[in-house]
This record gives sequence, structure tokens and C-alpha cells, in this order.
Amino acid sequence: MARGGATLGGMTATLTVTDLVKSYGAVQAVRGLSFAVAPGEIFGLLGPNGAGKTTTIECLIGLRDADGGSITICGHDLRREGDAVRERIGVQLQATALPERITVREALQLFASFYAKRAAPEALLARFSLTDKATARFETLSGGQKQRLAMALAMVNEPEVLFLDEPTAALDPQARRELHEAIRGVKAAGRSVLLSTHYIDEAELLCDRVAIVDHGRIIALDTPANLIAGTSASTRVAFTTAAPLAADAVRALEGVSGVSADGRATVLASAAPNRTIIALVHLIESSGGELVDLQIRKPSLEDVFIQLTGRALRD
Amino acid sequence: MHGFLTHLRISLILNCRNLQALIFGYVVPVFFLIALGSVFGGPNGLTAASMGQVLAISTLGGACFGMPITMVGERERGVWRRYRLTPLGTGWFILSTMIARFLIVASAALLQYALAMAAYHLPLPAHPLDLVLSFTLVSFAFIGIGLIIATVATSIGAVQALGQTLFLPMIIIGGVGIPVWNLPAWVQPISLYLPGRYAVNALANSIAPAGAFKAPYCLAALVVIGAAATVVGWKLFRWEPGQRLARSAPLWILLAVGTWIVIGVIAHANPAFVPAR
Repeated sequence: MARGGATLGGMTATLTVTDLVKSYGAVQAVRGLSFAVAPGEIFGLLGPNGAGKTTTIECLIGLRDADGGSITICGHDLRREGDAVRERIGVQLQATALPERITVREALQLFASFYAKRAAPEALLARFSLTDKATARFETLSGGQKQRLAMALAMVNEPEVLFLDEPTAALDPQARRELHEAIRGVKAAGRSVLLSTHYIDEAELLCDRVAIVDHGRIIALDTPANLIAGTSASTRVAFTTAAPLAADAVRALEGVSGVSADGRATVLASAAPNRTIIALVHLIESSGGELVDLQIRKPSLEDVFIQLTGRALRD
Repeated sequence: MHGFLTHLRISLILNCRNLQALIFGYVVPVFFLIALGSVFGGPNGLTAASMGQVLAISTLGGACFGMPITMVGERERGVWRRYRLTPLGTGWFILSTMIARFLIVASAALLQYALAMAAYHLPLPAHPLDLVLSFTLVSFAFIGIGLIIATVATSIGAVQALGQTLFLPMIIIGGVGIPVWNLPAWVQPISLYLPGRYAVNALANSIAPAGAFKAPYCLAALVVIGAAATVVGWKLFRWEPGQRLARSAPLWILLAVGTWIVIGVIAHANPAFVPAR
């Protein structure tokens, strides 16, 4: 049972990070990060490449020694009780390497043997849709299958906290969806998940709370909905017409706060998208035009990031 | 303990699935046996001294090439990084890897001995338990050296370069490939500073009527060389691909090599400790 750490909503946090600092020579990769993760929560670290997400996770799982700050996991101080922490956490790295000729079942048996508390390998095979691949060698698995195996290995000790570092990077959409389902399953089992990602949709879909990280600092931390609600970004209405519309008429549509046009394609920023779309359709009808395509995009965490930093996540 | 045994079992299984490892682990040792049997096998067959050389060469090869190639290959691919995240300690992983290699070289040695009995009229060892003890200590010393190679080398090419740096001197002037009494007089003392000399001596004595304890100094030398190398390999052990060696690495390596020098100086001053024949 947890013996220490912060409290969140009356519950003792399974993971508490306070003033975490890590430098590589003159480069400060992590600059005083602090956050806590509640039991059963999926907590996201969202940021561009080089923001310090991986370094943070590597410090939390004991792959790197932090230069400063404290890390408490399941009530155990990482620095003083590393073995106790390792018994309680599961980790999926960006890329998990295993001996090329080990089979899927052998890998699960091997990793299960390292822990006092073990999940049954056969149950993990079934849970991560790997039963058909149980006797397949690691070198023969696809990228998605390797990531599912990495996830199964991370769950082999039934961890209380699961660390996932960019788990879906380089996966095809189908494999990503499968992994998302697996992560939701982990949460449903009451375990905490710390997920680092640079995919906005992934953070919005999966995370209960998101810390937006940039240059080694948390620049915003809240639920995705609250973060988005806090931004001044407008809904975008993108449409294409058979022939260009008059720019003045478009700008005068109800609720429009900004217009960007490129030939027949136009993007409107609108504070009242429903009324803007109705007015737009009337405009096209009255001018004898034809609507070819129409898309609505709500503000996202990308907009939050742009508003906070002045640049896009993938810049 | 369970994790250690499972890692040991899986290591042995993976070795059996690796064709290259099987060739280097079993076919090449048989080639050594045939080569030395053809060169040194007299009209009465292979002598205990020559069989000591055969066993020492194949153990040296398995320890200084086979084990480090596997370890460095896995480390540089990130396999050991993943192991590091588990609660099983460094010592257990090292011990498991060393014991796995010992079992591999021991099985190759058994094969060699059986073939030598069949093809070169080699008798059963006069002191089987002595041979088990000697072979275990020889393996301990060489596998310890292999562990240092694995921790220092950053690529498989580097393993081969470092391995050859140790392998060739022991084969040519260390009494392992060429019997020490066939070496020029001025070269013979040099062999006292190389672990292979003590390995061949201990193994040959165990097969011959003399017994391993005819030269207990050789057994003690193997224990010291193995212990120093294992401690240094453990201290310098690296989990991560591309991880830098500790700044103190040269001092630790000097400690390991220093034991060879001290052992050689003592043997040089006491010729009876390590008889040439």
C-alpha cells in the first residue's frame, strides 16, 4: 500500500514527482517538473519531440538518475527503494528490444520470472491478441505485434503504475487503435498510466489529465476539456465551393472572426459555428454557387499549445 | 532466484537456436581437436598435454568470443536496457550469463573428449574429479576475461579485435597452441604472464596420472585471475547501448591485468610452481 506521496481528490497519488531536474552537460532537459497521478488515472505528457518527455519517463523508471527533485511511486522513494518500485511498475519503452530468437511465450515467461507478483503468460497472450503468435520468434513479429508484446511484458507483474513512452509511434492506424483499447483496459483495471505522446488525438482520446511540456517545463496541466475550454481559439469551418465566393460577403457572415482563402478553399474562424454554417449555406444558395466540401474543426490541444508557445507541436 | 534460473534456461535455448553459435561452439572445437590431434598426436595417440591444449583453446574461444559477442550484440540492440527495468539485480544477470557459457563450453569439452577417446586413443582422465575442478576453474578464469571484453567492447567488431589481442598471444606464446617446451627458451617465461599457461597445465595434469594438485599454484592462479576479472567485469558492466565506460575503467582493467603480472612474477621466481611438462 502507498505510504507517501501527494493526495488527489482524497486519494493518495500512485506517482508523485516534485521539482524533477535533469541535465545533459549544459543542456537542461527537464527543468523542475512537478505533478501527481491518481490511482486509475491516465495522465498524459504531451509535447513536441525534444520537450523532455522521454527524459522525464527515463528518470521516473530509474533508467537515468535525476539531478534534483524527488520521485515517489506507490509510496516508495525511487532513489532509496528502487527494487520495491521496480516490482510495482510496468514500462513500455519507445522501442522494446528482445533477443531475436526468443518466442513470444518465452519472453512472457522470462519477464514474469523476474517479479514476485506475476500474471499468467497465457492470460496475457489472450488479452493482447498474441495467442496465435505464442510460438513465433520476436524477429518475425510486425511492428504492431512487437508493441503489443511490449505492452504485455509491461503488464507481466500486474503493475500499479504503467509507464508508456510514445507507445504508438510508427504504428499503423489499426495497430494504434488496438493499443488504445489495451490502454483503456489497463485503466479499467484500476491502474494508473503515465503516457507520453506527441499525438494530440491520442492525448485527447485517452488521457484524464494532460500536462503540456515544452523545453523541460510543464506549461499547462488540466483535463483536455478544461485546457481546450481555456483557449481563445475558435472553431474552424473549412469549405470548398465550385467557384470562389466574394471575400467581403464571407467575412460578413454571422460569427466569423477570421477568414483565410486560397482559391475555392476557404477557412473561417467562428465563435458561433452553427449560425456561421447556416449563413454560409444561404450565401452559397443565393449566389448560385455549389458547396463541394465542408469540415468543422473544434479547438484542440494543438491550439492550446500554439496559444501557449506561439508554435505548432510538430515545429 | 526463479528469474535467474529462467534467464539461464532461455539463454541456453537461444544458443541452441543460433546456427552461428552452434558452429563456433561445437564445430570449431572439433576442428581444433582434429588440428592438434594431427599435429601433436603421436603413435600412441593424443597425450594428456595435448588434450589440455585442446580443451583450453575451445574454452578460451567460447569465453572470449562467444559470450561477449552475444552480450554486446544484445546490449547494443537495447535488450539489456529492457532487462534493467526489472527487479532482478545486475549480479544475477551476470551470473546467469556466465553459467550459461560455462555449460556451453563444458558440453563442447565433453564432445571433444569423447571424440578424442574414439579417434586418438585418449584414455579416460586419471582424475575425473580433478578434471571437473580444473575445467571449472579454467572456464571461470576465461569467462571472467570474456566478461571484461563484453563490458569494454562497443561492437561485435571490437569484441573480435579485443578477443584476438588476448587469444593469439596465448595460442602462440602462451603454451596453449604450441606446447611450452617447444617454444624458444627466451619465450617460455613470457607464458607465465598469460592465463593460458595455467589452464593447460591444470587440465593436462588432471588427465595425466599426476593429478591437478601436482601444481596447485596453477589452480590458485586460475581462481585469482577469474575472481579479479569477474569483479572488474561486474564493476564496469554496462546496460545501455552506447553507454560510456566509467572513468575509473582503466584502473579496474589494470587491476585485472595486474593479477596476471603478479601471478607471473611469483611463478617466475618459483619455477617448481609451474612445471613446463
